Amino acid sequence: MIRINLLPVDLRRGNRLAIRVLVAAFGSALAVSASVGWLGFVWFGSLASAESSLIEVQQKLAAKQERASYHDRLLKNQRDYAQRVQTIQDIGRSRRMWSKFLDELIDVVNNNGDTERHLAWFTAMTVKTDKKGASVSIPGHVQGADKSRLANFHEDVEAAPFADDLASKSDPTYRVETSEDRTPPNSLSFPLTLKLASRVKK
Amino acid sequence: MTATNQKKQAFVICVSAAVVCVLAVAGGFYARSLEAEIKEQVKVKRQEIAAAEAKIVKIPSIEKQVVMLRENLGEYVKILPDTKELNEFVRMLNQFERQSGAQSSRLQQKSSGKKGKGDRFRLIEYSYEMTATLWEMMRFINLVENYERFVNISDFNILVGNAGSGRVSKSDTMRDGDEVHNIRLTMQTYQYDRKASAKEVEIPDYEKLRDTLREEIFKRMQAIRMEKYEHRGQQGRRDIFVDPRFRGDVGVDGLSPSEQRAILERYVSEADQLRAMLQRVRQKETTLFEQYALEKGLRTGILGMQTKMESDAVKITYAPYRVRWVKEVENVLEGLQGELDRVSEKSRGNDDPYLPIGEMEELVAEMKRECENGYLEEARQRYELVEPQAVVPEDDERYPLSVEAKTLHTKAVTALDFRAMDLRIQGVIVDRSGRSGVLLNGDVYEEGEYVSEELLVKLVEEEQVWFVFRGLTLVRTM
Repeated sequence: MIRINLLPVDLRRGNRLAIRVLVAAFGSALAVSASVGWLGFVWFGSLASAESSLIEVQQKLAAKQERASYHDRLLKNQRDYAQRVQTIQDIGRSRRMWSKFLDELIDVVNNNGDTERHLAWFTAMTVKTDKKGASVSIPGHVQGADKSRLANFHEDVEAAPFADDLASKSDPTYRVETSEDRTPPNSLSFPLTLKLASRVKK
Repeated sequence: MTATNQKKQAFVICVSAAVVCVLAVAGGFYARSLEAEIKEQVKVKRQEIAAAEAKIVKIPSIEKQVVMLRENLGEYVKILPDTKELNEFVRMLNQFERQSGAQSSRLQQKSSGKKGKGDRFRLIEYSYEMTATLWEMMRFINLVENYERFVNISDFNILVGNAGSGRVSKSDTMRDGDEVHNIRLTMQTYQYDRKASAKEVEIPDYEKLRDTLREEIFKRMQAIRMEKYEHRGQQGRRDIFVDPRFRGDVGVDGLSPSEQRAILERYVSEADQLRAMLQRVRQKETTLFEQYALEKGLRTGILGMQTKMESDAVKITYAPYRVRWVKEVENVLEGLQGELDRVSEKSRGNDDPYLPIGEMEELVAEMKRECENGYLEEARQRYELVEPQAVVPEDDERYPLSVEAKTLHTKAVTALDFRAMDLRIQGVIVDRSGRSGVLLNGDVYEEGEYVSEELLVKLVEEEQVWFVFRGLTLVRTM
């Protein structure tokens, strides 16, 4: 179909740009330039600057990381050595010098030759050690039938140098025994158990 | 129609622009989110840098700690034996037996602690049975506890005399007048496995750093020094596992306890009198003449007591009185004698730069004892501590003692150097008709041959090789 405009030229509207279109074009151009401009600013400005900062810190970190990893390996070594040293120290400290203990026990029993306070002797000795400490079992006798001598002996055991490590001690109990071939024939037989605390402090 | 076209045109323009705007804004926001992400990464990296810098700052101090720990550990593990040294330990037990007089009947490995993956310390336990008097046992235990390698006596029991197992034969119930007991010990030691250790970090300039920290390393090393105890010996004390009461069938010919006590009290009183005299000698107001007279009296008194004691000491048989006799008479007299010597030395002149004769004698006696018991390092240190005061001129009466002390020191140093030498005896060929030989560190040496400038193979036997080292004859057992 062919359209023919029959109006005189001056009355025709189609030859000039319509205001609506003009406004739309201008507005659109403005909006597009603003948004594209902002995109450009963000993309090539802030983002590029952030990327260059990232590259810079990455390079810096890479340079430091080698030393930091050396530090980590050193630290691991230090902990490993410290643990081993601690184990050896614990092993060393856990040991009780039994020759010292026995020397001190002999002193208590001998009591500088004072037989009036007590005169004791043992019939056996059993020592067992575990993680909690040591247990010393020494059944013995005190000469005579005077029970206060047994108490004296227990008091002297409690005052001995090794008593610093004493965790517990059995209480004095006795049974009177008689040996006719001995002078005096009577003695008080007693059990004695000493619990010595572990020398390694937790 | 035209209006419609214009509307369409405006619509198309607006839509196109809107699409472009939306895309641009979306792109902008995407870029923003990327930027935020990158900034977050930068922040994290900066924190990592700060953490790395904090670590780097600590490196010198950790390096020091690692060097000290590594050096200390190297020293610490020396107290734990390796496989070869366990054989040496058995040899040492034999030597301790000889030194103490104890007689072993059994040595058995109780358990060899199971070692897990990565475990560095393995527990080794030995069960050891022996017969010994209380004093022999004390000496044996003391030697074991003072051994240079770590040994712990975990359990032990003492069965008095013939009680229990009956391992003490009837002919061996007494030794040197003391009752023999059955003793069972459990000895523990640990073996250190170096292979289970983590890889060592290589520290630059390690040796230099170690040298600068030498003092601190030494200080820390003192913390692990194995505790030692010197057993005092019997000192007149009685065996606490023997009933001290009088037996009706023993010692009937001797003095009664009351008679023995009378003798003891008399001596104690005499010793007290002599002690009082010594106090007067020490007093400042005592004149020189009085001092001389008192010293003379004291010497005569001590001599008189010592003469009488020779016959009276045997009369004191009651165990508790024996203790008092040793403590209150013998030890007191010995102390008085020593004090008197010191006082005399002092009065002879304070400008004497050398050790008094008593101390010199003590030095020699202590060094002799230490050398005999294998405490060579202690003997060396004891002498070196007083060396400037121990070297006296030839015309001094202490010169022979000075020479003796110096000789003992030389012997101790020589023996220590010999002990430190890397001598691995790998085999011996004993030829009774000719010259025997020894395979030493991979080389064969015959008797009379020099291993080095200072070391000569003197004699090769089946179980030991005799060397002459710096003029001193020393033995290495196989």
